[in-house]
Amino acid sequence: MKIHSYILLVLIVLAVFLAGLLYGPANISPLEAAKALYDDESNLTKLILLEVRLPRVLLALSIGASLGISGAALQGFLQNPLAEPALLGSGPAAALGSVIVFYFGAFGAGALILPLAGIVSALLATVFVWFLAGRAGNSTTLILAGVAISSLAGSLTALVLNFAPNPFAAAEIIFWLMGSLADRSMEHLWVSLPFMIIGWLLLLSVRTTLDALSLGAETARSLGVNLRNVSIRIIFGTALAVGAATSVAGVIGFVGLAVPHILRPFVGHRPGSLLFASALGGAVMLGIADLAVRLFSVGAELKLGVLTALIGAPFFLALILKLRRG
Amino acid sequence: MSEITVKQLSVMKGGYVKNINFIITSGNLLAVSGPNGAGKTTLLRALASLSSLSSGSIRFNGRELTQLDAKFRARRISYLPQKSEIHWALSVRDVVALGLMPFGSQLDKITPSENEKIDRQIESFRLEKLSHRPANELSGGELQRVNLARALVGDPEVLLADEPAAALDPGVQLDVMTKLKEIAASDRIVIFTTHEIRHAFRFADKALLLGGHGTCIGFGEPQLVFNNENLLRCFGIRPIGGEIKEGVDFERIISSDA
Repeated sequence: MKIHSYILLVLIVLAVFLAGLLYGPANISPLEAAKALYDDESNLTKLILLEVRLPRVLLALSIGASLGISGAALQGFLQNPLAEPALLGSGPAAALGSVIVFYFGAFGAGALILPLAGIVSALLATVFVWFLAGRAGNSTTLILAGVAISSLAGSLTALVLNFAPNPFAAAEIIFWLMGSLADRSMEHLWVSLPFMIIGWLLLLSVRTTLDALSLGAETARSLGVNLRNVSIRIIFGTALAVGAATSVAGVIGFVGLAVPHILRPFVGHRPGSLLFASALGGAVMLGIADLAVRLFSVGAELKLGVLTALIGAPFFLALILKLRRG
Repeated sequence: MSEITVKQLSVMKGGYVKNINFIITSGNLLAVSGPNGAGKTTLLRALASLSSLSSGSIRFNGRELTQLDAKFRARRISYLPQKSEIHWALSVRDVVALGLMPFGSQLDKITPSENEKIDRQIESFRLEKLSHRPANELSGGELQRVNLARALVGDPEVLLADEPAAALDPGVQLDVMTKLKEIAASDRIVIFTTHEIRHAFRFADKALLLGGHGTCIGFGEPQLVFNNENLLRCFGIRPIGGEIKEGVDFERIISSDA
């Protein structure tokens, strides 16, 4: 991808950021926004902008970036266009960790207990997958281990729901699992962003290696690639990015699968260049999806995860059909 | 002048070869042959540092291969696996450029001097018209030219090619063999595996014949290694007319299920 395409993507991210601040159930004009922000007194517009929308938009962008870059890294590493972040189990495990917090009602420990539980369980699941798959970094055993951990996390989540203390707790858990960015504060951003950034950096550090892996593992190794080192970075990079994202927003599918797929032709199909592009693309996609959820909901807010899943399923089917023909 | 010295090499994991000894120097094309499962690929992978040795040693220019830094080794020893994989629709040019990766090259930051090297290989393998095509859409023969260009772009001292002519039409097979001969003649060590004894006989300077269970049956001049006794022992065949010479065909004497 040429440098001006990256600049264009960055500009779109900025546009989505501004739109996310200004549009919602109450639209604010740029002029009003500027006036409110320069006003020393606290006012309603300022409150909406800084306390309600700013964390929400920043979370949408950073979570979208995490899902996009993780999807691109996993697809490149596993040489499989259908790979996505949930595959290695960190997403479902993060969801389980957060659900357990819900179950025990451990909010007394502070608002941050939820994301922290998610991140810790995502990391635990990843270490488990790592040992289960063997440390050689074979992609098939890695996928199998990921699927096993994902289904274990899924059934344990069902178990927690089964024993939910009351219907309200169960409903709350289910709503949370659907994925949403409503009512998130800057604290959520501060606790999750550092983990996401470490994840992004780990993933970006293997971009040249991912290019070499396009020629298969054997050839990559003969080019001097240390597969073990690469798989550690990819596994922990996605665990940190996706675990932190899921623990704040619940389960959001589709972005990690679709964004790399859409952008791949624009980077000359290079898996390495696709990483950064997919981070920007994921931010744009989730930013727009969250804006759509806010603008088009009537009555109960449509959950972000439900919207992405609704768009995602047909996309996934189309991708399978295309692969079958190809 | 480069040199590979293999001494009492045995590999037991991920294939099997036992007690292999040979020395090969630059300017030589070495054919490794033997029946299916004799350990040809295992030997080649060991030479590429892709499998670990059980005992014995491989020395490259006097230094133990296993002691060499991975990048250092990758700059000097190129490897073409038997099954070439190209995932994603990378352009032919990008695939060739990946051969420069051990030198720190990155696909999105190719320098002018790297571009020059890539151009030279593209020209040398007549890939100009294909250079922007997706490499995963090429025919077998075109792809093998791309692979060779990729393997040579970093100007290695050694080229290891696993069955480079397998599954190609007879014309392209000859092209590939001629190219390997040229590469060896330009002061490099080229080691390739093959089932095609006639290729080994006609093009190779040296031959290494592996028998069942990865043991070495013979190493040296192809005329001497591919003698009637060895051919019968390894493949159950003998040359029609009783004498091996260029262009000869073979007849089956002992069937494999006998």
